[in-house]
Amino acid sequence: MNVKPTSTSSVLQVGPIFGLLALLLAWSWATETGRIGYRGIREAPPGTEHVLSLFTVTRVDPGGYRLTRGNLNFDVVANPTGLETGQEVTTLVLIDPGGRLVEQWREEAPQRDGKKRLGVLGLVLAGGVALLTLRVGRKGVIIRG
Amino acid sequence: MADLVTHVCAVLLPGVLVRSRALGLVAVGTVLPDALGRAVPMALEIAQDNGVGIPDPVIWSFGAFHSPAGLLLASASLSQSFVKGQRTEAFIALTIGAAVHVLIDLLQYHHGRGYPLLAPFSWETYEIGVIGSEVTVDLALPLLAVTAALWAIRLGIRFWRQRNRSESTS
Repeated sequence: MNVKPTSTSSVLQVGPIFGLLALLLAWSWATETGRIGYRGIREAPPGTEHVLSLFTVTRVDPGGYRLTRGNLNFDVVANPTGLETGQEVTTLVLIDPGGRLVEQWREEAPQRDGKKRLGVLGLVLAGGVALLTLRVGRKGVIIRG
Repeated sequence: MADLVTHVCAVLLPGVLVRSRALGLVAVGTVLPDALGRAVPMALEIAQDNGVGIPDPVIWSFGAFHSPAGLLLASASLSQSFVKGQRTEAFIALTIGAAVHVLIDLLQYHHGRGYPLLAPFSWETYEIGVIGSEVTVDLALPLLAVTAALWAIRLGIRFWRQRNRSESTS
């Protein structure tokens, strides 16, 4: 038997999707304009301090190192002793009058790889739980417990 | 991406004492923020690095799925894929799971770079910051073992009771 969806159920189905699309656009705008994320550091005034949390070291030079996250790169002026490419670090930088990012302190994150592996394991675990407790029926997903 | 084993166990471990058919879905809800807000953009970045033309703003936008507003909307959208009588239950279960995830993340210390909990109404970030961001790595597997053992005991007791009941009725 075909049941016509009521206007309420249509709103419940479509409303969250439109809400999500609006939120994704807002998030993208906030990132682009530096309200969230790290892009705003490029336009930040001298004398301000910023935390670059959990970035990957992608280059080490005698006078500093490069931090990368996604497509975002920051060159940091520092003594890079003990630093190797591929490491993940959190760094507090001060923007000097020349616009350079000068390291104030640096904290290594040696267990990031382990954390990522646990992330994947957790996804597998949740997938297993979903397979055991949910069922796909003709009219939608069914919670079977 | 976060240590999702701890997040899932944060629901399944106390869940040993709970009788609810939606418990599994709550556990699934705990991985939603990272599955949608971290794993998807990571996959898109890999695709981008391999020459697929994905604009940066598309990748950034997925961060919204790690915010309370994004998770509420995602849970509401996903709950619509359930059968009619279970949609509210599914929405509540997924939302509780996602809330557990956000709460655990908030406990972690990120030197003031917290989470924009009120986005899109405010972009101010918050964190409780009482544990290190890697402190759960050494605890995760022992926690998983304890959780699995307790569930094995619970399911074993249920199986034993059912068998006894069917023997006494036959």
